[in-house]
Amino acid sequence: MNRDTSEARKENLIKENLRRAYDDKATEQLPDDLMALLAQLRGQDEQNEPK
Amino acid sequence: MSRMSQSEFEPALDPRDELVTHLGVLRAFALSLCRNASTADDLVQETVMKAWKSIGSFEQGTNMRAWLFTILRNTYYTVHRKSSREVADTDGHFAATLSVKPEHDGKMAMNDFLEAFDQLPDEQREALTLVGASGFAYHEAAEMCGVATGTMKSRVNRARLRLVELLALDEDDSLELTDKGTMAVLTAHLPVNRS
Repeated sequence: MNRDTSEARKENLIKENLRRAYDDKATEQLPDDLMALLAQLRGQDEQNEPK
Repeated sequence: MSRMSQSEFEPALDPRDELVTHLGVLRAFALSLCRNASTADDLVQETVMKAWKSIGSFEQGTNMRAWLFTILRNTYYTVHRKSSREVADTDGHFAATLSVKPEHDGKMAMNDFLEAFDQLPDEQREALTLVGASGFAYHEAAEMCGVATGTMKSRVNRARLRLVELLALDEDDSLELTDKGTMAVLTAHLPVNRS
């Protein structure tokens, strides 16, 4: 029983650290290069759309 | 005109607009694979270009995040894996590139965690990221990686066990996790192997 609780706590500890690291990265501002690429792709789509 | 149900009368969200909403997590996944910020950003750009080009083949109503992650990991394993190994440490490893936000004394513990995470084999890092951080179900992660669900479970389990070992978590680490702030303070005192 105690062993199970201990294992669950270790697992939670790892899960929490993992999520925090991941969320920190996922919420960062997107790099300018990527934003420029998106703008370029959207621009191409607009040009190719039938008028 | 009266407002009708969205599914019947309003156009569905343009998948290209939805794609943009997944870019943050896509970068986080890329970094967990590459462990190199520059390579990860290149990988995300390639993924976006591929996805954009084949957006017509995306089936509306299915899981776009899984679709994007699959494109990204296929690109990584076919193109970037070799170069990623070669340059993995040129601008610092995963721990450094993650630019951990200092949360008082929690910073040290997070860096310790990331250093340990960095030492996991590719397939275990990937499994833990998909299931533990991205929130995919085992069967979804397994499908994305082209393995059986049992194999995915096994990879996640081995990764967790390895992290416990690397972080030297023992019976005294009976931490009660409540929220992020509490966690940060508590984990500041974790014993860590520094040999």
